[in-house]
Amino acid sequence: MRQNIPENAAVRLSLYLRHLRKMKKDKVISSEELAGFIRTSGARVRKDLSFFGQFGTAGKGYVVGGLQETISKILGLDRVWTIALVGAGKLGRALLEYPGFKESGFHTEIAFDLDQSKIGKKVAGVPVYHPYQMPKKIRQQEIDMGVITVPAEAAQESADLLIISGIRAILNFAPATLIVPSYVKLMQADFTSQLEIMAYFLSHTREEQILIKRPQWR
Amino acid sequence: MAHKILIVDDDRDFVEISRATLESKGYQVVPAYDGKEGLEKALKEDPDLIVLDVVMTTKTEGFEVARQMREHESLKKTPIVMVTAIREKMDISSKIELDENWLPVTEFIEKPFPPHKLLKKIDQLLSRKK
Repeated sequence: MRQNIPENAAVRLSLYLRHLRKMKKDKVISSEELAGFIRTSGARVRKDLSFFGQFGTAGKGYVVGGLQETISKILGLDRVWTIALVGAGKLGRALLEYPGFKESGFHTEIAFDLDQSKIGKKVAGVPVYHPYQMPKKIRQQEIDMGVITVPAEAAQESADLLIISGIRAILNFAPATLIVPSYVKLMQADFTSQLEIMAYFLSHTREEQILIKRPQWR
Repeated sequence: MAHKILIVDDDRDFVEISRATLESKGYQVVPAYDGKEGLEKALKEDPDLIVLDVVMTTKTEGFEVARQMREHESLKKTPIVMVTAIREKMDISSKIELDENWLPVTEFIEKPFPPHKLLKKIDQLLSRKK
């Protein structure tokens, strides 16, 4: 049933799923109710789901458990995805220690770092190898995705090594613009860039546009 | 006039063997032994073809050098033959896939290979260029 869908729809499906997981499986939920969680419209929910066929009962809604299962299948979350992390520094460690990824089916199996004091040991329970062992380890562990948490200057080589190791999906946390082949899905998680966008927003929002004024202590 | 070939490789033995082979067939060879020197000589010497190693200072330095070369107008169309032992050294099971943005090279030859294989590839690419 999987087909090419707009990327935004995939993002919304992930958000619907996040809320559905918190609900009782036998509850029935309407598209308007589901839409309310992520501040979209019921029509948008129905359209997102219509990409994959007919769900729910007209006028009644969707059974939470069934919808959760269906969205999981659509997003490919009905299986475990294995991850290799490149860069076991402070950010890398924080990601390795976050339990939420594993709970959602994303298991970080291996990490790579140039730091000799980490190679051959475990960081947050994940074994760390030298980056040059990447192709062999990635093949052995059947890794699906790569996450880059290295400094900007090392990000492109990290991506190159992941790609020649056979990785086709990369999440990049480094503040660097990466070049990847067209067959590789690259997602940017650039905190600095996001903060700069917020700084721009704050710098260009006039006080009179803000209904609730800043407290006096600012 | 003899075609000018720039060979960029930190393996001096490979450079010398290739140089002897190519010069015996009338090519003019310009050697460079790291990525930085390779880029400088590519811009200065305006070669007809570049032979570039992947593994130099770092495992994929050649990829980055190829991308930097393509940023210069004078090198946008210069054929680049990338040579490497990366597949064997890093135990990569499949061939590295070319992509004009990610790996902007014309051909990819995996080491070890006999000198005449490189010569044949260069002959082919330069005759195609005419």
